[in-house]
Amino acid sequence: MFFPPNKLAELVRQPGGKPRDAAIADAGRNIDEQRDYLAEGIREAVHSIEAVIPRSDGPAIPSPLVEIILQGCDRIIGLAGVLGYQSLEAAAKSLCDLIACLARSGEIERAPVLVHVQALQRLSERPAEVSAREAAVLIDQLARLVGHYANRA
Amino acid sequence: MAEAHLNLNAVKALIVDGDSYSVALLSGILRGFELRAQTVVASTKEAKALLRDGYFDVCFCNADLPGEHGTELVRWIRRRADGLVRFAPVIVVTGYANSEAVFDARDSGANLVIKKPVSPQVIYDRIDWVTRHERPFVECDTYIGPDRRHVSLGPPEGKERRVHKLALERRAPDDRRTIVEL
Repeated sequence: MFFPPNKLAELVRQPGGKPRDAAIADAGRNIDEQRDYLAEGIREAVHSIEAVIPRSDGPAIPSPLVEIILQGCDRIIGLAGVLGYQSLEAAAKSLCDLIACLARSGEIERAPVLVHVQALQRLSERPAEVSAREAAVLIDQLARLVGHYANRA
Repeated sequence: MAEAHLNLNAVKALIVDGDSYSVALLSGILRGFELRAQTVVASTKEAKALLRDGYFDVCFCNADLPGEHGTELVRWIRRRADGLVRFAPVIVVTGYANSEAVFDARDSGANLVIKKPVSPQVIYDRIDWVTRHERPFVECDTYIGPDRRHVSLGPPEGKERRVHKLALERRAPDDRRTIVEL
């Protein structure tokens, strides 16, 4: 074990720079400026996940298509929470949980994935129009569905 | 406690992420911190090509990269990269963080794992943490990277087993005064 030089630590302690609160506020402004672009990224990700469903024949979704779903979820989780779409983020996480459960049983069944995709569509089309209560019910139902498959696995 | 104050003006960051939207978000946050020297690459292959003869002060690496997992890049940096970049802080950003993914990132030699969504607060505080908490670098057959034991958990939980304490319990289980006198 040894202590290597930490150049980053040396640089950040030099005079200048911004205090924490100012830096965070400026970063928040930069996010706000990109809000429309990032929202477009979420819509694109939901569409890419939707497109997987008709491409998968039979009761199971093949692995290359599952990869597309997971990549879409990764983006939704990354962007939705930052933009304040917590329910959409929760639905995407639920879909990842579901896929993890199904992967343990060896087959990614199409039906429960489809339910999640419909929830993502509902929550992403016009997020402002979905009431908090409706979103909570949707997320709760998704959690029950995942619980069912988790118990089975 | 005094407010943290970081100067990121002269810091060079490498962002490895194949998703342009995620890059836009992280890049915007770092620009807000005045970290403008950002190099963005989409794959581990491009990152390795840059790191063979380049230096970066900090690397943000998405766990889910096209072609190869982000943690493979971290392993490569710790084992193969030349010069100081081997020791540079690497922060892995992951979307779906189950415990296996977090352990994998930790065991690859990453300094930190950040779960998405990333917020300005989280990124700022993690950079601050990485620069304040210097950890020894470990090199052994199975692991190369910063010491993973960076949390002080204190003594193990459970019943006190020291002989003199057991003697105290036997003599005066409820009498605090007697224990103090002893």
